[in-house]
Amino acid sequence: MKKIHNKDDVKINKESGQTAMELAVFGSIFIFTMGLIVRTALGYGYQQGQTLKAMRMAMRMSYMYSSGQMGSHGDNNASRNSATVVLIEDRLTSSSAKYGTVDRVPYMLSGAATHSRNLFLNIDSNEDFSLSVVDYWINGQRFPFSNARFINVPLNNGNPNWDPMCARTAAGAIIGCVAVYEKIPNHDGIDDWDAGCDVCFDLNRDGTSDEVPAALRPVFSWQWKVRYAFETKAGGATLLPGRIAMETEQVSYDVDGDYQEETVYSSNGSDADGVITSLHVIDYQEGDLDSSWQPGDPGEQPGIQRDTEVFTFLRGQRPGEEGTYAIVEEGRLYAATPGRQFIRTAKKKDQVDIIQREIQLSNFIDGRFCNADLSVPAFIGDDTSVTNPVEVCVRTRQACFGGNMPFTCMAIDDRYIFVRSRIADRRGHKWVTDTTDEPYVEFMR
Amino acid sequence: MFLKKSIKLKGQVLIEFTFCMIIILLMLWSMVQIMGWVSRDPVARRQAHYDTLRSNGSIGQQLDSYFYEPIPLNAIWRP
Repeated sequence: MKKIHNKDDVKINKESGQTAMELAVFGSIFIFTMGLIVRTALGYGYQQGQTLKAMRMAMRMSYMYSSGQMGSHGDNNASRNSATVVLIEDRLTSSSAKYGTVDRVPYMLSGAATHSRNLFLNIDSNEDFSLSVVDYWINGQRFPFSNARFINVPLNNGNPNWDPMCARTAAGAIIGCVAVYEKIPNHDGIDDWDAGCDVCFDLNRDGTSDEVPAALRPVFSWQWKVRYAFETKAGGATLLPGRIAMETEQVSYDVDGDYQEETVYSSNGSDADGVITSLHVIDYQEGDLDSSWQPGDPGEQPGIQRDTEVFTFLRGQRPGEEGTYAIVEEGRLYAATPGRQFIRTAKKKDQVDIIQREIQLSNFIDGRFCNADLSVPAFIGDDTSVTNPVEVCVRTRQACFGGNMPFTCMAIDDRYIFVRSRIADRRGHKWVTDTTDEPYVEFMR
Repeated sequence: MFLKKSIKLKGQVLIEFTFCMIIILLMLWSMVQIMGWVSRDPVARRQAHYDTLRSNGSIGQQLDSYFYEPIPLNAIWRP
């Protein structure tokens, strides 16, 4: 029969319950707050560590390359005169899960440094290794992306800036040559600025100067100045009136019609009339990554794409394999210890996280990350200090999946790299408790 | 009989409360230690960063990426 409590008895029990409840709620909030502090501190610690690490890496990189201790060309290397290092690491964060923490948080930080040993080093022709490079470190894999390349630009009638009315030969014939464009900033100290030049404000070069209204031209930030790829020769042609010949050393012009200036390194010569036939230039749009790309420009946005995927592979999915597990066992620990009893709690984690990032390159350069015949070079270009992080070269993006899924893969036709970081996660614990003398357990009966 | 039971319950509450308070005080102490560590560790890391940069070793040593080990947390006691 159920006992009926009197009123005071019930009140005391209620108060005990209230105390326990308050303690539980307060304890939960307390533990949550502590967890939050630890988590925040962990994240801040990662960030600070990466900031300092990136800065030190950039300083070390600039020092090693400018002093000739890295790279393959002695001390003639200016590629990291202004070194930039971008660190991307997917770090485990604190959490309470059955097999330990599984969540990864990406941390991305960059550092830049300049070592001044070869700050004003003159770069010789075709020294691509001395052109600017930015180094990405993605979970320990190093990707050096060039920002420029030496190229020869042919200046014939296939060039988008070809002007058929350029010069007059000694015989009186009108011949063509290529127009090159220089960006002139609007500044009082620059004599070339001419607010009254109508053709200079034809920004998209469609033949009409309607982009900038006349009233705004005096305060507009820049304009084109047109020059012609022509040099005067004895017995050769003469430029038509109003046309100005280009300079051919240490100047910047748009010579290939991409609306971006190239640095003209030298002229490759001219024909008998004086029409320059090709130019040797440093093109900042022809490296691995075109850093001048802006929304609205043709082609895909270069650099790391927004898509990131994580694939987790566990061991122990097949019979006979040991992998991720949590077990509690009781009984004898070893056959050689009769009469002793133990409880064992074991957790083991054996998994691989494959974190996939995607990088769109602006250009495929034969021999850097991949060769044109799909073989994989051991090093990046001629820099033997950088092991090639790409493991598989294919034609299209689709071929980077299937059997190539775990590997860092480049699709050369699409100029696309799938970076696959394989991070092994093998942790666990094993607690063994001697329970032989426990009076309440009595395993031995 | 009722009085006796009431006193017993009060005693139990008192003991439980004392045990809980001991645990809570330990946790409070841990939290204070953790909060202290959260502040001290980044300062110590930055200090180690500058110390190695200004050291007399080779440039390779000055710019070593692995220049620091975290200071002990000591959440419960200092060994």
